[in-house]
Amino acid sequence: MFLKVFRKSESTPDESELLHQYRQSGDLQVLGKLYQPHMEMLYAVCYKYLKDEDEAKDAVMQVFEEVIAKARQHEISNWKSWLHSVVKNYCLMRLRSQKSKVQDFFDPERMESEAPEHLWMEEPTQALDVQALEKCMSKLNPDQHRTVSLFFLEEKSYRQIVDETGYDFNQVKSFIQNGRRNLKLCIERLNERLA
Amino acid sequence: MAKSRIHITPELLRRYVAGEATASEQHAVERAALEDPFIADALEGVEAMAEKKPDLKALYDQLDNRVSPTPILKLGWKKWALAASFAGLVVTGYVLWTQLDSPAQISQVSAPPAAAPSRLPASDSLSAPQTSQPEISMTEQPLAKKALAPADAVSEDQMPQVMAMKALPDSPSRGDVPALAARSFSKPDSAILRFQPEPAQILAEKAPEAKLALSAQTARLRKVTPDTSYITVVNEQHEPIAGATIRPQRTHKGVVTNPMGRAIPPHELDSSVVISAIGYQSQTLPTPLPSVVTLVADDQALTETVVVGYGENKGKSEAQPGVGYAAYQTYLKENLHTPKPAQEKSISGTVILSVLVKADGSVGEIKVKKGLGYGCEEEAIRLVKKGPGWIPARRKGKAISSWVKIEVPFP
Repeated sequence: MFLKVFRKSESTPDESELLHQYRQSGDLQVLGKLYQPHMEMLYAVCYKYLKDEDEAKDAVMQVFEEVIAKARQHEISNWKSWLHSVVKNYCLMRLRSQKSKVQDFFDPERMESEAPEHLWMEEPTQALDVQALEKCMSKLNPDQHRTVSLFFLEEKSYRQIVDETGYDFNQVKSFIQNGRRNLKLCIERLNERLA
Repeated sequence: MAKSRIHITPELLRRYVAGEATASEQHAVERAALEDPFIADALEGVEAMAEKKPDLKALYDQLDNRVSPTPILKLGWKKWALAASFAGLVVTGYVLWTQLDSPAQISQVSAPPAAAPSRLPASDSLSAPQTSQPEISMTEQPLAKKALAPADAVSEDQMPQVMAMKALPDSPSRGDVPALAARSFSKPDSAILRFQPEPAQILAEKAPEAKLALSAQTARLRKVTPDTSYITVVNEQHEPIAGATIRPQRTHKGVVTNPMGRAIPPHELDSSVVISAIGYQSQTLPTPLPSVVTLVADDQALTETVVVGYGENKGKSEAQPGVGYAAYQTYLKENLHTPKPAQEKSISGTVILSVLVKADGSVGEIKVKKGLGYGCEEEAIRLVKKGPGWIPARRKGKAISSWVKIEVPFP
């Protein structure tokens, strides 16, 4: 269970198949089938950045136009997160050209996210060593240790952890985010030393 | 703990934000947001939407339309064709309208205060004697010109007044009305002052049909430039010439014709006026000007443009290698020995040096602008010092010392 802390989603087999089909044929209907299931999520992402219903809708369609060309040019191993990065880049470009709504640009959420900002894809997950994980867990500070174990081991929700520990909601969130990142860095270091 | 993974849907995100998700669902969402920046972003988006549930039906339809094959594409093409032809129609319509309609209009509106009353009586309710028309407009002509600037506003305000008269059944005597109107207009300022508050009231109370007529009239008045004194410049084919200049002979201030070939000449005109346009022979005409001026095309008037370059090249040059830059680059490349430490660390990059080339062409001081370490700078300096001589920079013909930038690439 704990091994799955850093699981990464791959394209579903269907998606890879459809994508392959599209790259060969250029059939827009195939691409539509690939795009449609994610549209609502993409819309939500656009809404996050653009803060406007119509603009977000417009962006979703514009991104589709971009995807028509890009899906044939780029190697895509993970369709979903690839879509996400295209949408995000599009929205950021759009914001940059507007400059007016940018107050939210450097929100802390984005600053601490380790999301790749590029279109290249993440490397496959390394097999994690349970021992390494335990070792790293013990190195976390007590707050992070407590919240991370509650979250990942006992699968409690933020809300439940708040109730249980008495920490503030945002505190819990940042403990978990930072704890997770520390774990990741620590494990990477251990793996490097072994390799 | 092989719990079945909860699939994250937008619906679930909405419930999460609304606080309706179960604890395990909450956990699933939070966890997914941690792992997948896509979901994290989407979650924030849903949070930003607050209560608003987006109606994405239109969006799905749009996508369907976009991806469905040919019929839509054909329609798309037709749509463009339709739009294009419609645009064409509108443009031709507009051109025709302005060209055919305006000359007649303008003569009527030219002196709004005068023309307006003279025109109105002509319409059925008041059958004013037609003969009075020329008189009125004649007498009002100069005044109209003076009142040119406020003409637009004036005409708007005065119209209702005229209409109101029309609507009053007990106006003195029919023949008198135009005269009366004309008199009141002869003092445009007072007329405006006196009648401004009234028209709307009267109109609303007494003359609904007059109101209609009024809006039509004012609309027409607005569309036309209230001035007869413009002139039109055309070519031999009677096509308007845009950008032709009309200026009094002794000044340099003139006016330029618009795309319809029209312009209003300056108020104080000389005895003669020069009208010119690129590609046409200029004409000098005595005042008063005719309303249409025809320019004759002139091939020679369109002379070739001669471009003259100004620059100072005398005695000014920058320092350069005696062998030329290309040869110097080759020298650097061929004689470069990457130092051992750098080789071991497989260093690559470029060392940038700033080198003082003295007036006698020898290399003086050398500064490292950008180094690579591991002995690369020393090697670069050695190369430059041992390298071919330089031609010094010159200012006003005299050799001077100067700094040059040299880039030494380490492969």
